[in-house]
Amino acid sequence: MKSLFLSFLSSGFTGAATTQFIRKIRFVNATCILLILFTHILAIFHFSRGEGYLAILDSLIVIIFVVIIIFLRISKHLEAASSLLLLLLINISQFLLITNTISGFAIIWIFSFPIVAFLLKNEFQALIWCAAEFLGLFAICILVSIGLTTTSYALTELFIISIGFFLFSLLTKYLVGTSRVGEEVLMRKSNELYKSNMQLAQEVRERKDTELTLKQENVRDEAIFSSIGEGMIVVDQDFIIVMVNKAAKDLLGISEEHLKGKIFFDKIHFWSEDKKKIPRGQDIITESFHSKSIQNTNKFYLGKNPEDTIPVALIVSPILLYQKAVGGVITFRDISQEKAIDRMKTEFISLASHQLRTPLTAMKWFLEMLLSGDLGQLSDEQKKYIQNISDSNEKEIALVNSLLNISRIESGRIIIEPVPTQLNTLIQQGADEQKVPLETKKQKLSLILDESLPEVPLDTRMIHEVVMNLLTNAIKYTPEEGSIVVSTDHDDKNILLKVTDTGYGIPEKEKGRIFERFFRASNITKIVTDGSGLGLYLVKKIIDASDGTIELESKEGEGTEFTITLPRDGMKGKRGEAKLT
Amino acid sequence: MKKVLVIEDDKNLLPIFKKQLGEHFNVKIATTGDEGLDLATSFEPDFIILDLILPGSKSGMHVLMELKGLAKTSPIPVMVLTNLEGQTQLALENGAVKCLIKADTTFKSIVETIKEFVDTKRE
Repeated sequence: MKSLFLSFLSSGFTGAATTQFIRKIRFVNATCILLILFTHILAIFHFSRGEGYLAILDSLIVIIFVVIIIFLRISKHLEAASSLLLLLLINISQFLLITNTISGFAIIWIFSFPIVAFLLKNEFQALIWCAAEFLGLFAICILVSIGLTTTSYALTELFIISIGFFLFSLLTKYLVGTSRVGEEVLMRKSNELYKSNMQLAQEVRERKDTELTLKQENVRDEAIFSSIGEGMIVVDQDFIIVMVNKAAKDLLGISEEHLKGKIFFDKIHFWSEDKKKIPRGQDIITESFHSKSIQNTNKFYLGKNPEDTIPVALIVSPILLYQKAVGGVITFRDISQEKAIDRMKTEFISLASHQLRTPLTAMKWFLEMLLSGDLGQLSDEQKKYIQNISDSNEKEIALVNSLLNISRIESGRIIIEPVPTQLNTLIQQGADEQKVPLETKKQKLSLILDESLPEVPLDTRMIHEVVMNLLTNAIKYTPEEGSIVVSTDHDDKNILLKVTDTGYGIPEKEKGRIFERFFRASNITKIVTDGSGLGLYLVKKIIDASDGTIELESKEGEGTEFTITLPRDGMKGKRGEAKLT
Repeated sequence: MKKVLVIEDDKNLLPIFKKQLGEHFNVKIATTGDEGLDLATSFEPDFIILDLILPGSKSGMHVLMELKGLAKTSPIPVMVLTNLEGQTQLALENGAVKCLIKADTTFKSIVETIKEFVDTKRE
């Protein structure tokens, strides 16, 4: 029963302050309407009993109730409306008590008063209102006791009603107080709920915002992806195509539905220059996945069938997650034009070198005739000058040969013919060939050769070129009376060649550029004017083609050391158009 | 005296061939491929020096293939002497006994090479 009453009481106080206010307004409204109905019935009752003045009073009360409702609706002034209502209730209850219209009816009015008061007002105000009602009741008791008025209730009954009212007021206060605790808990809970509701709403809003941003970013990313000029295909770890951009579809001439979700190798094949299919496993995608590193190449052709291929520059980057390749990004671009230009360049170099060589040949042979005395004996002076011309001519021929060699290596047309070779022998030969310049510059050449150096398959022309370049450079860029050491060594995997000199060295900041084509270190261009800047470039190209490495250590003014490693498996043979000259 | 046919169009080089080879061999010069093929059958040389770049319809490679295709001329050793080395490998595959790059070869070594082959043939 108490809980029912409590819930009834607390129902007006639950929720936030606003909700509480609205509920109170509703309560005043509902109370007024109930009272209007009741007073109306009372007015009819009074009228039927011939008590006209009471019926008019009832109607007035009805009007007052209507006024309260209208006032409340218009002004939303709850305090005033509720005070008016309570005032009216006090008067009605006392009026009913005195007039004794319907027996026991006044009791209902009186005992409902604290409930209404505590519902409408705060505790203190409600107590004051109850005190006012109690004083009213007490005043009636006094009036009855001194005989100024009469009621249907005996004085004792009136006292009991008054005391009962007093006690009921206290009970209501207590119950409301208890309910306030509940109310506070409820308020707190409600506030918490409200807060979490707001938070939730905020989160939903944020999520929606994030979704929108993500969607926009997605659209933007897709636009960027499809606008990339180079073909781009993303595959997962099973080589299934996940994404394809427009350039890729256009380059391959395959629609997206024929690519997306399909295994890369089922749809796209790699071909060699001579239209041979590259077996799966030897392609750079697999290689990149295995090595977990970025791979790139220009040597493959891409296409569905051998008749319909395009030469491409390929870059494969593995997508690594926890050190595992979970996919890859394949980027490629059509290099048909570059290939054509390269072909034209090669043809040009080939033709130009032929044209350059023809007059050089005539000079070479005529100078040879002159020097041999076949055309009559020359004076010593004549012989000396003719020899100068011949030397210059030989340099010119060597330069043309260098250009040709580079052109051949760069275009991959070089023939590589490895034969079992003793590197020590090549070094010895090179050293013998350089005896004259060594003596001229009074330089000391020491050979520290590994006697147990194994024979390794090498292209002797190419490696001879490497040895000669390093040796002639060392002689050229080491001052007179300097020393040069050439040494060999080997381990399980590689054979090693070291050329060390006490020469001019390479400036620190130029070390990175020393293998560039036509590059000559700034410190030596002033000392040794003669040089094409092609020697070390060629050396590097040869070592690269041999799967070897070349490193240098150098200190300006102190000397340089070149270290070359060549795999013990040796060089791999290769067909081509021409050998190194 | 052994006969050497030189198929070469560079007029600047011809005097050397005539003079230097003439001292050791009976030399005839052809400046086009067709002329070379005619002389190869009529002159019946013991050795042929062939340039790869020749004027006219027949390149040196054509001439080499025709020489090797004819029963009469196929045994004659042909040495390709050129500055165009892109085709030296092909020339060897087509039956040339040797391929030398002019600019890298002294005339003395040319004479020695011819002697080597002509002597070998005689043996």
